[in-house]
Amino acid sequence: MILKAQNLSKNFGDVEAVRGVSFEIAAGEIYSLLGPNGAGKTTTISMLTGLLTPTSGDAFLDGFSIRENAHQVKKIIGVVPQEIALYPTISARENLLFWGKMQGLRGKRLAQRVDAALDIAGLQDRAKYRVDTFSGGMKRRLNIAVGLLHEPKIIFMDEPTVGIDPQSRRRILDTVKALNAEGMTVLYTTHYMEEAEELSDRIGIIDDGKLIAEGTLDALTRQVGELDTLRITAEPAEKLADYAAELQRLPEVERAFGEEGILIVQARNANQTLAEVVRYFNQVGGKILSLQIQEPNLETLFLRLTGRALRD
Amino acid sequence: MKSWMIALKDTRIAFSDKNALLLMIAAPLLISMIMGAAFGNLGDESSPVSEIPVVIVNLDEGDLGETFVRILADIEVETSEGQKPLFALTTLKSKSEAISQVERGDARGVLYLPPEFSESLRSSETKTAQVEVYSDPSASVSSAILREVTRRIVYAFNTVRIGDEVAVQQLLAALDESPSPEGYAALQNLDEILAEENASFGENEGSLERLRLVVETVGKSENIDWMGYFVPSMSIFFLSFAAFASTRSILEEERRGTLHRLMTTPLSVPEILLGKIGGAFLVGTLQFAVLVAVSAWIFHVHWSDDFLPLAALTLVTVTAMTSLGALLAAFARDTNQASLLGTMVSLVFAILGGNFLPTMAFPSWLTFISKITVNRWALDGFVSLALSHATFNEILPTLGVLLGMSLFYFSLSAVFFARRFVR
Repeated sequence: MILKAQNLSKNFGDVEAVRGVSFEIAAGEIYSLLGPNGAGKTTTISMLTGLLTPTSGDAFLDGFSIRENAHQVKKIIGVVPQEIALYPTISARENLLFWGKMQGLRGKRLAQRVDAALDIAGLQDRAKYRVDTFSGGMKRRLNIAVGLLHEPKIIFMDEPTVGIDPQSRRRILDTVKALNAEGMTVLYTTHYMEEAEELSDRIGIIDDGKLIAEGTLDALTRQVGELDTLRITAEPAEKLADYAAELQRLPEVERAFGEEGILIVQARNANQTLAEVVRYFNQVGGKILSLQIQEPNLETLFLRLTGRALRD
Repeated sequence: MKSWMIALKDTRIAFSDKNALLLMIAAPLLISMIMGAAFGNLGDESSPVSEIPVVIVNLDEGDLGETFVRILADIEVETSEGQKPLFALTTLKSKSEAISQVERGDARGVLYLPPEFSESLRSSETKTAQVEVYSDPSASVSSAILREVTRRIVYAFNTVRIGDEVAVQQLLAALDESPSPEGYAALQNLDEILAEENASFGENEGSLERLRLVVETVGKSENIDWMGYFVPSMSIFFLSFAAFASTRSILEEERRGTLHRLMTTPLSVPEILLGKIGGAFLVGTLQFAVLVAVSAWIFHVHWSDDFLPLAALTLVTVTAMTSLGALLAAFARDTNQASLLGTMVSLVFAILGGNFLPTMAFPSWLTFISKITVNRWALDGFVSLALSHATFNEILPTLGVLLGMSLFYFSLSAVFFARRFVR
């Protein structure tokens, strides 16, 4: 294991930001910490990267304790913070040269790594331009490139796709996959379920400072069961509770309830249930305005574990 | 080594910002120029003195007034272009108009001889004649020469039968106060002229101590080299702005996330802070060095007789100002608060420290309070180097106080920063 977090906790005064988080990451893995804003993802990463000292617990990176060997730990990690942590009034190349020097790179190797980082970011032709002239996506890519300069053993990426356009987001996700294909270990935090599903070998779901579930995507979705979810917007809305009670009696339906004007039906076979639901609405004179079938995913798992949506 | 790289990066960023350059370099020079002009001696002569423009208002109805004026007109001075008259005399009949010329800067002084000048001197009664000199206070050298030459002639008129030994001593003593050796050289042929004039005057019935000299200044200031005062003042004031802005960049980096990114590299927090404060020190030192060089070049400001005390005082002043900036940054909650605090401290310390108004104008209690500021000690040091020609040993106490202040501010900032960043 390249990373072993053991019972990590962090308090800020009376606030328990992280509560006894433990997980492991194998070399070459992409591990995603998935959770809503304020769940404790950034605090966990901050402890692992030496920005914060844990209140209790410890973590080991490549065998080095974050408490005892912080300097050694910092040599083997790369960090891509959530903010665009760059100097806006100097060029992309000057930024990379500076951060490379901070990582201990010098001379020819520094020049080579800067060129490689510019390639990864797709910014070779903009290397001499000031960073404050870049688009949001370009800045995000350069932000990632800085973290990769010294070829760390493990890279921590804290919500690297926040606030950017779909095209730049796609490019960043592809970059992460390419880096992983070359053997780099990645700890990726996000509150986007789709990103965690697409990238991760394993996923840890974090909420309210606690790791509430962990495993591969398959293993996690199995926890929800085989149930599909039908989300139905129907009229008259005041009869949703009556409809839910009736639909609950159908043989394939596990659970039916109304929530915020939407009728939610969890069933073992969505296609068969759908036909029954439509027939029922025709019988009672109800009108279906929209209908969505949702297969088991992390969103439904999170909903089931916490009672809240992931993006709440 | 990495701290040095952080310092270099900050210096590069500071000097690539055109707005910051305007504030750091152009603004202090411009304001010094305006204040120098307002208080007086901008453009005052420091080159060899000759042909000093003086307006003569000779209303004397007798011949002694003419004699007086002729003595002035005959004085010559050796210049690189050969012998030249010391004074360029023009004649007017109105005293007020002549004084207006001085106030406008068209002339350096006015010599006024009243209508009864000859009559008073020759009268058998005990009348006292009067010569009035109005000089431009901002033209320190030429005004001093006009006053002393006139005083010398007046004395010669009064002591014509006693001899002029005492007068020469007084003249030399007075000339010692004049910063211009050329001014002294200009008077070398005065004795010869006086000897000739006194011979003819002595044949007349002149009487002892009948001639009185009245000297008045026309204008707004005393004889101080204001540029030598205001350029260091403004340099110190704007150094405080630059030093506070540079140290505030620690908070700016914290806000932007680059500080936290630096903390995830193999660098300790003290190394990072050393680099950041080192950057502020480097920026401040370069700023001050440029101000010294440019002001010496453009305004002929004489900062010091010797390089060593000037360099030492510059480095210690920048250190003290940077340490104070670090303390403000460490104390502030965020960049906005640091900016507000910095501006407030810059202005209050500048006013207290005499950067806008000389501390000699302060009441004693305010003079005492002003000594808590870096500005006051630094300004005292620079002014004593520039105007009193102090030596390295003479400014050692000032250097010591500024170093003590630096140590105090830096230690406090280290405590605050440690609390802030080591969590």
